[in-house]
Amino acid sequence: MKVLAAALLLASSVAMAQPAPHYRLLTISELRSIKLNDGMCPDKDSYIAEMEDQLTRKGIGVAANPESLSKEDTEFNAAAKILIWSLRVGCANPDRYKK
Amino acid sequence: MKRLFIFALCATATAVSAECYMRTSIRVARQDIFGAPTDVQRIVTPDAQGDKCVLRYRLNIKGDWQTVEGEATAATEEVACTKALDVGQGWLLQDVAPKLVQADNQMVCSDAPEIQVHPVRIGDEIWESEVDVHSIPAERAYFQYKHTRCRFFVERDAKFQNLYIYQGVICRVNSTQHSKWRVIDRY
Repeated sequence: MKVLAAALLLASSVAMAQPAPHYRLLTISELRSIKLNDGMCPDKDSYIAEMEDQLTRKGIGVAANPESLSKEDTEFNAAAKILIWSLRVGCANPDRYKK
Repeated sequence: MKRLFIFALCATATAVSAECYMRTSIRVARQDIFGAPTDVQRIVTPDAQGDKCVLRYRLNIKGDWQTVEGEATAATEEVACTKALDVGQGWLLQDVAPKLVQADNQMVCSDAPEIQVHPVRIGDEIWESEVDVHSIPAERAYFQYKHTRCRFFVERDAKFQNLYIYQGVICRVNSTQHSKWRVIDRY
């Protein structure tokens, strides 16, 4: 969670302070290392917006069908979408993943 | 003559499009069912006792979608159709396989659209059982997203000698019980 927050905040602050070419894109490894938890829920909208921004800036967009993407972009897209939907569903339905 | 020809063409087209199944004597075991009946198609006809309701619907049994038929008769359409939707009273409909025909099988045919699992794209409007349920049990439950009932699905695609497994989200198009669903994401 802290890793994600730090990575996203870093990406955001870099994006705001510098022109677009220097925007910090996360790597697939960074995306996959992100661990979600309940503490992210109050800020889920900003995390989701940031992930969508990553997809847009990478040239994938937020509504790409995987067949139209390269292997690398397919993996990046899937990793980002899994995080986005985990936040949307997990935060809005808190009992879903409780045993 | 021209009208007769058009009629003949229409009759042929109707006959060709009808799907036939064997209605087996196999009853559905409740413990094997994931979720409730979906994609319900109903035919109600008057009956001496009131109304006869025949329902054809889709049930997910041990992870695979199956077509099931149930029928019941009652004084009112509503009661008859409620009874017909009792999955414990449904018969499995299986694709016609002549070598398997037995004395306790019945062939039933219908012009209603056949529903099958198939590849989808974002934005497609589909029946719920046109995509598979998620392979992870915890992800099979419905959830609310923007006040709409949604669920995850998986899609298996074998190409270039590899098996690709996509995941996605479908949501009901409207709030009616028998609404179609829209693919809102796929990745």
